[in-house]
Amino acid sequence: MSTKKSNTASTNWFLQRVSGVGLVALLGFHFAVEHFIVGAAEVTAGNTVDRITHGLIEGDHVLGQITINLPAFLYQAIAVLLLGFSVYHGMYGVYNILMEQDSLKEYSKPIKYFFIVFSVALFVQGILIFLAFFEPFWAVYDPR
Amino acid sequence: MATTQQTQKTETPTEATTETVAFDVFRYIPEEDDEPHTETYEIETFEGMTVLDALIKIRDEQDPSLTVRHSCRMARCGSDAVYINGTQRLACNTQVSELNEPVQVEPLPRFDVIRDLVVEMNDFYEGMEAVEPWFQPDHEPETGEEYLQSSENRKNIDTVLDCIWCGACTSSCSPAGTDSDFPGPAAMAKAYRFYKDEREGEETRRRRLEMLQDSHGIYRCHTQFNCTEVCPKGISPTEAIMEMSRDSVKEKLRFWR
Repeated sequence: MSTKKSNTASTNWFLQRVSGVGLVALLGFHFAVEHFIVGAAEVTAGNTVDRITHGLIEGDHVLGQITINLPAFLYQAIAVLLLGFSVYHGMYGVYNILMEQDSLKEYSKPIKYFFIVFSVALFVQGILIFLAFFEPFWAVYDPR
Repeated sequence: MATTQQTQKTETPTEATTETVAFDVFRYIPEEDDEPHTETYEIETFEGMTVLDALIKIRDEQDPSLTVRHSCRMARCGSDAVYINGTQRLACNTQVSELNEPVQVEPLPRFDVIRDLVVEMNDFYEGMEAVEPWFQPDHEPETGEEYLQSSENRKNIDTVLDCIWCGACTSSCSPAGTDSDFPGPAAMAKAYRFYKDEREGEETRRRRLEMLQDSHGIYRCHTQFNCTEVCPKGISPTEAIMEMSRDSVKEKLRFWR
């Protein structure tokens, strides 16, 4: 064990805990909306756009004819946080499992950089998809 | 007279409590065997018989080549930890009557086997040494003074003081099995014992925490509580590790200091 003061292990461990708790809460919200309010059969691009861009859930869903209008920012923040937490929690978790294997320790640096680059790429990809819900991206595609 | 009666009671089991129990025992003598195998022994048990009693009986009456490490026979020395019916336990502290048949006895998993049920403990001892398990006070007391400890502080470390270095926890620990840099739960509990000791002083406490917060230290714990479940002394290394992990994060969050 080292006595390096620049050790980031405690920060990473803390963020893993925070992202884990965050995932439980956000996935709970996600399941409530997608499965118990809207219903899986009603998950369409149009409904998702309404919710992400206008905060609107409207129509004949699992709970019947409903209209829920919350601030769009709420759904946007949840989408971005869910993306960030899941990428961090998943990638750091897998990285740790690999780093526990004695046989992989000599490759620890390449593996670490691979996971950093891969995680950033995943996050950027997710953000690009998220941005596609808004104009002008949305203006070129109307599924309804 | 009383002594004679007691001796007769323990040495001569009553017929009503005697039954034959099968033991599947792991056998491996490197000089003779190409690979490990299991041998089945059937022995007559008596009331209160422990697995260690059974192994000694097998060795004395059926197979003198059977090797098992043991010493005090009263769960104090920690030398006879083995894998009994899929759980790490002390052989001297496990009643045969509580076990399903056949009783399977194997050496502690994740340790190298020296012979039969005896495993190599050097890595375990090195892990214990890595956490510097000795008293390191910041300051020497002035002449005539003692290192005083409050009873509250003593109570805090009471939980981990009973460790008998049997290795059961380390054998049950997933990360200790794959990460040789992780000293293991027993070492972490030992580190906690000194980390919480107020007599060492703040400077040593911080240095210990810095040493433990390596990525192969306290953060390697999966919080599975395997070590806690198998500890024959009721120690919870997991809780000790989690407390040190929380303290480590709190220290980091106090960035203004």
